[in-house]
Amino acid sequence: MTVPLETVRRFLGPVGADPGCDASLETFDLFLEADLGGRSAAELYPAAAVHLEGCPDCREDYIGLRELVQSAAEWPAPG
Amino acid sequence: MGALGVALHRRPFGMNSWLGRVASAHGDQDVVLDSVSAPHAEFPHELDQESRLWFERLGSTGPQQADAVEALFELLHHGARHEANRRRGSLPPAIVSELDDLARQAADDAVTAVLRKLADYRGASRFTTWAWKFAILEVSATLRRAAWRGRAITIDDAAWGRLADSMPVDPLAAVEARELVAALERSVTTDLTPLQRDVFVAVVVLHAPVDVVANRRGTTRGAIYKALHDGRRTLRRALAAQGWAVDETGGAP
Repeated sequence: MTVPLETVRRFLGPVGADPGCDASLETFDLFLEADLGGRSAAELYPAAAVHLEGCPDCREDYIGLRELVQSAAEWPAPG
Repeated sequence: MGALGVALHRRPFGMNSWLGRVASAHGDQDVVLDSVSAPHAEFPHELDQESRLWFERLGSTGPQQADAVEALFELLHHGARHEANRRRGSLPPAIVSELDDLARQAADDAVTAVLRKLADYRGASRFTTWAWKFAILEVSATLRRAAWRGRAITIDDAAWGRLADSMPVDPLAAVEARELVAALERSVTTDLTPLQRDVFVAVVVLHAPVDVVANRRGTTRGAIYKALHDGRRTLRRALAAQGWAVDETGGAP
């Protein structure tokens, strides 16, 4: 049966070790900076990459954080 | 007391402290840091100057710390507003009119979360990236709950059909997608626990946010996602047993 992988994954999620929301959220910022730094975040943090594919809320939050950091690269520290 | 000697409490609005200034501007309660001593954390990573300033000043005492907490609120408020505006188009009008208040509340809660977790900051990422994570989590959870306020998470007879209809345009793939959805529906009914079934239907079929399902069940996002993850694993095995190629190669032939 030849249902596209994308369809199957939408229903059944990705295959691979998924540490869950809490552990993935711990590495969100590291994953993001690797991502924005041009490093392969999915290779550096494979479990977080699996989770981001499987969890719609975490994925949406990650997108929001990514856009936020990109839009405000410099923010002054307290004076 | 945390590793930095920081104790966090919520104190009613109007207490005679630097907190009062923060509280009067941002709400009727706020975080108080008591008995704060200078941080002496050993960072496993080389901190950039800005991140070190944030960390040291939030962990200092007196006016310097108060100023740093106010700056932290501004940082997190910016993050919460940015995320609220990003989601504006997907929110009901009634929620859009509340966005400023919701972002401010979320920023307040994020300040609390950051101060509570400050001792855990190891400098592996920039402080602003680390701290904004809390703002995003707070405001997104708030907006999801607000957007689903008053909405039941109830499946109707056509819900599974809509799932299949939203699938591929290729005719052959569409037929097989409908067959997969039918097999999935049967397996959801027979193979999952009641909790796994409810969570799968809510999140995958009805597209309810995990946060909302968790809130209504009085539990955490992580607990609901685990039920979803476990349910998906059961479904994957059940469908594989029926001849569907849903193992490591996904749906490939």
